[in-house]
Amino acid sequence: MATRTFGEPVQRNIDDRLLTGQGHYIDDIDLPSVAHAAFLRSPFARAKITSIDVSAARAHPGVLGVFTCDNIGHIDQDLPLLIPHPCLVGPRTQRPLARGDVYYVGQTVAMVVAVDRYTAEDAVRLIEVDYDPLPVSVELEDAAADGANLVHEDVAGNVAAHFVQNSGDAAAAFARADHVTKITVRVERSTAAPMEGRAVCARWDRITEQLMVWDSTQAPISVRGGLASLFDIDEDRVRVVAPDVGGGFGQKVLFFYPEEVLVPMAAIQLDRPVKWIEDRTENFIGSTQERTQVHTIELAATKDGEVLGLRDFFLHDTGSFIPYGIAIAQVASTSIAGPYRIPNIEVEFKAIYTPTVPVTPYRGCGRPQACFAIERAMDKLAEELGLDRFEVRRRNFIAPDQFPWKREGLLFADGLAVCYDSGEYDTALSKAAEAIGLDRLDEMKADARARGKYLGLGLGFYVEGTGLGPYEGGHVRIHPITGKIYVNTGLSTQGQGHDTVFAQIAADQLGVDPSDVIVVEGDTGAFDWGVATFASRAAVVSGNAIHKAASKAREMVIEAAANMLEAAPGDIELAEGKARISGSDRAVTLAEVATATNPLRYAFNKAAQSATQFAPASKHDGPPLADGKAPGIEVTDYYSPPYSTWAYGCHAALVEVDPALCTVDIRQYVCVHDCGNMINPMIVEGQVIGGMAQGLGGALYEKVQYDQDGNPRNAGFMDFLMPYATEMPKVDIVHMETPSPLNPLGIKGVGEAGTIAVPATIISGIEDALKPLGAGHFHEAPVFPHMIFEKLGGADQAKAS
Amino acid sequence: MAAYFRPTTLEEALAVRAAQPVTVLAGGTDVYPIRANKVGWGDMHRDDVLDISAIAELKEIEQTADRLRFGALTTWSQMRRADLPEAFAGYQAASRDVGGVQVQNRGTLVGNICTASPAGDGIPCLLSLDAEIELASARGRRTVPIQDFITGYRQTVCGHDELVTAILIPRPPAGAVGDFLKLGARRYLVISIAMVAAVIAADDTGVIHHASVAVGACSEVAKRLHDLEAALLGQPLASAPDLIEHAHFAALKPIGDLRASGHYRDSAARDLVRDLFVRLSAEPKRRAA
Amino acid sequence: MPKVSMTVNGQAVSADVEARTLLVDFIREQLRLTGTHVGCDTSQCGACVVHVDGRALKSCTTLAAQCEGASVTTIEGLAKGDDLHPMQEAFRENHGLQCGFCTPGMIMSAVDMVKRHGGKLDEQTIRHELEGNLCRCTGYHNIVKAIAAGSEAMTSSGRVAAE
Repeated sequence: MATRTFGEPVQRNIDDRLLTGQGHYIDDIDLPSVAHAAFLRSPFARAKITSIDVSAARAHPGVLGVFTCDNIGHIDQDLPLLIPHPCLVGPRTQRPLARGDVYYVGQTVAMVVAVDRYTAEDAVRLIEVDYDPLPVSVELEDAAADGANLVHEDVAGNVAAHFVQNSGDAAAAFARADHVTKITVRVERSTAAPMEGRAVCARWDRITEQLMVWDSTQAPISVRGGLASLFDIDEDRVRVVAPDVGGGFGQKVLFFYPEEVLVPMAAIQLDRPVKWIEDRTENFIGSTQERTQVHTIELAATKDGEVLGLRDFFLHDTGSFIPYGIAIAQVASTSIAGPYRIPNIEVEFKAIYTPTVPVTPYRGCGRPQACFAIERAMDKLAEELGLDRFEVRRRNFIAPDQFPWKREGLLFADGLAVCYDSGEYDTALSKAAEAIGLDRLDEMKADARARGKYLGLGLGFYVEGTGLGPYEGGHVRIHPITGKIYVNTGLSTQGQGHDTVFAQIAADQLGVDPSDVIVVEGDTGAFDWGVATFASRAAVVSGNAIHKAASKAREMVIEAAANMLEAAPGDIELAEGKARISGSDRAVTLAEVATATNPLRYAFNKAAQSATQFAPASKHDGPPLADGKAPGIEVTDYYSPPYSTWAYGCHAALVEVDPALCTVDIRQYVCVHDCGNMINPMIVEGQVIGGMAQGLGGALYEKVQYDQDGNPRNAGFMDFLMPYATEMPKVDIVHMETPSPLNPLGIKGVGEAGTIAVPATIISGIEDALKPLGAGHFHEAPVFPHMIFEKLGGADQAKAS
Repeated sequence: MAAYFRPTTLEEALAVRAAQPVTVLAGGTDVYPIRANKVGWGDMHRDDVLDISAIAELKEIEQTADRLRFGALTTWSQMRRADLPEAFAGYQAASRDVGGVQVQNRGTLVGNICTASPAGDGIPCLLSLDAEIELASARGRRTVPIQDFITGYRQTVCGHDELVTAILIPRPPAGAVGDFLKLGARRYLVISIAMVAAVIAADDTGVIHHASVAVGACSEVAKRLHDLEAALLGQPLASAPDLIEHAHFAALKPIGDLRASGHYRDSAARDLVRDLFVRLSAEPKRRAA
Repeated sequence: MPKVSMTVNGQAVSADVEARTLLVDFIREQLRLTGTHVGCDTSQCGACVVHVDGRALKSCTTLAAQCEGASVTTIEGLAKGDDLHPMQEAFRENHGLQCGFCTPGMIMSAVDMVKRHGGKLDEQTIRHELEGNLCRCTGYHNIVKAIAAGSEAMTSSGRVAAE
């Protein structure tokens, strides 16, 4: 029997290339005579454009084209609303280049294409635009208030969407509760900040009328479809490739960004390849962001801490446009009850326009906010009832035998009722308590006090609906010459290691080493059915599709090999690249099988010659290729999940605060997580810890700041502080594997898992640490040192003295 | 198109400097980030560039009986590794914390003071060391005390025809020990919320006979705390942390910005000075041990 | 336009460049060595780290013209043919990379770090020495593990002083 690689820490196939500088990110692609695009972006959060003069830019040496909304033809239209929803009361999307109005600092106003980027940037500075600035309400609460300045003149109250959902009867639950806990929490805006910004490069071949686009996108198939329809080119003449992509985290899934449309348009118009590489400033003002929400959450409980009902009302900041509809707010509102039974839920939100960079999902997508709200509320409930934080959670967990747990009436982002598939929540909590050393907590607190510090226990439990539909495909083919396995799927990778886990899945079915599986994804020329990479769905949806295709390919190999070796199919085993009769050395290689199943009349390689010494691969009468059969070993199959799988986990931390300088030191961090069966624990750990670093940013360091005029104040790595290696604490990971009953591999998604619970965990630790000093509650994320200073009364003391 | 000059002698450099407006470039670690923030991709309308990095005579650190001279091209890395009196321990600690190793290998001490950011890490150190800045022009040379060199937010007295050629520091008094602490919202590569530098000398009985204390990022220009220094003189070093009073910090005018509130800065500066004194007063014991 | 001559990965190169051309643009655009990346333009991220005359620096804040006569090593110059440098090998074995964009800069910084410290490195030193390199994928743990393993391999294979 072949060695199973599922569950093994198999090393990654692509690493050698990336380690030696041989990666091919878009800026590395060398195209002869490529021209470079640069953009003029709005310096105002909200303004009317009264005139644009591009004459000096056009006349500048080296400039090939200058574009405004007036010379881009039918491309001058609203970009698509990707996910419509009936509750969207004023959906607005942006135009490729501003027409008449600008809605945020950074919005594209004009594009220059020139012989090099320096020249294009020089010419951008020669464009003269007259703006008539309009008053703005930048902060979420201000924009939602009566009389706020409007982002879109025709959208009253800046309300883009208003939605209420009910599960059970919250009003009745609140009426019979012994106790109601109510808190308001605020989570600030952040940004994905992938190390490679966005990038687009396009080449138009006027002889073959083919458009080739390299796009650092998470959704190449969608981009292909959109470009084909915008430019009225047959889909088969548009190929979109996402080559090596330097991180995405959701930011690169928005379809369309203006640059994604304009760069191909320029390539067609100028009949010359055109490239645009986003610089870091542009990434902060021109690429989407996420997170700002303000939740008011109430829990109705018995005196024993059983939560009977939950009400949550929140404002969601959607920035100046809402291309993703209510996706983020919907995920937040349907994840709000966390791992707890809470049978009666009422959730309501308003998505509010603010004159800032548009908001689309960033790793976590509404879940960090929901987790922060429910977990901080559970802590407050425990405190008010005089119960232990762990005990309150235990009394409300969905028990292992209560799955599937359905929240009828709450529709998740896939349009289906929330339904948790499996989990061992209580065990996860116990493991976290044990790993963090809960029984020694008092001792550790005393030790900190002896050093002049205050130590607290942070705790956060999260659930995450992953592996959303609708579907992905898997294509598996055995190459007749080499016997290597070719695997394709439609979504794309941004560094997660898809190619390795997909290779493992195919390798296990076909009895080869994962290094003999060649995975090509993110190339519409290779496979063009599918959706995109988002919502921790690649392993679940594409992984199971590839598994299904590879299983069928396995059956085909066994049948053909049995014929060739004149043995019973049940006696054939696949291992080491061969199909063998069990217990004998009679075997055919996969190359020979692939060749023999392809009835060609000429032999041009070793496998073709050697294949002829065996019996025919197919037993049938009639023409060489049996009716209804295809040549070779090639299978395409699809997987469509019945509903989302729910991963979960429990984080705990020892957080130490210096009461004088108000600095925070994370002494220990424990992450217990369960994403079902793990395909590759090395890659899973990489995803979890990487996600945690972004969660840490959201807990202590990262906040996109705007001034009152809507100007970004920290649009660069100098002032937007992401964690370095010195910020990341030591992390102990505890793996649990509760299989998902929903898919053949029993897996759940893990891409976003690490991020979600970190702010709730660290900030609850700060609150616990400072309890002896009467610092009160910490219901905002992130927490900066000066906020601790103020909670400790420092500002008042300073004023008094 | 901007012109680029890379002279190999100071004389040539001063001639270029006098002839036209130029951006002076040494390590480039401040010039380029600032340009990227403002305009990115260089700017054809910008000044010509005078690159002084090839001028050999500006690269040396010289020590004589009465002073130390750091040439204008002395990098943070050179500072960090140099064999210097203990009073420089603070400046050397600051050098280790600036911008990361790759920046320290390029960035210069003089560039840091010419940028004249309120949060420049080297400035409180230079204040605590009574540094003087040497400037040269075709007209001749002059020296200016560091506290007079920086006149405001990113403003210095360096004239349009002048170049800073060196930092001059008088040899510190016997037994002087220096230290530096800074507080940022992140460990590294962060603009400081507050920072303090001090040089203190005590006699054999532990009585302070020299004290200089400076605070950065808590006013437009980093400041010496003369009242605090006066309060320390004649007192036992061990008692230094207890001698700190709120009034000693009156010279500071911390502002609130996106990094911290003014009150927090003010409080943090006091706590940092106290921590620094605790470290300095423990120093002799550490050395003895 | 000034003419610039330098040695890159052992090869003598020279070209006429505009004065404002950064070293990273010279390496990427003129020499087509695209393993050196630009991640931030403000000297924070370290994706552009190369070695110039044996010292690590950020090629996004250095003019090509300032490197006249210098000897430059980029990520492409580290492996010997198909044999990965021990530090590259360590990154592979320890899953020290995900998207790979920061990786060349991380490895160049790591090799420089080992050479400066003259051998095997502990975790705390590595974390502090990584102060100039950002990664948005890995959370750094595996990078730190990789550098520790790489420093050990460089030490035992005698490659610390050799480079």
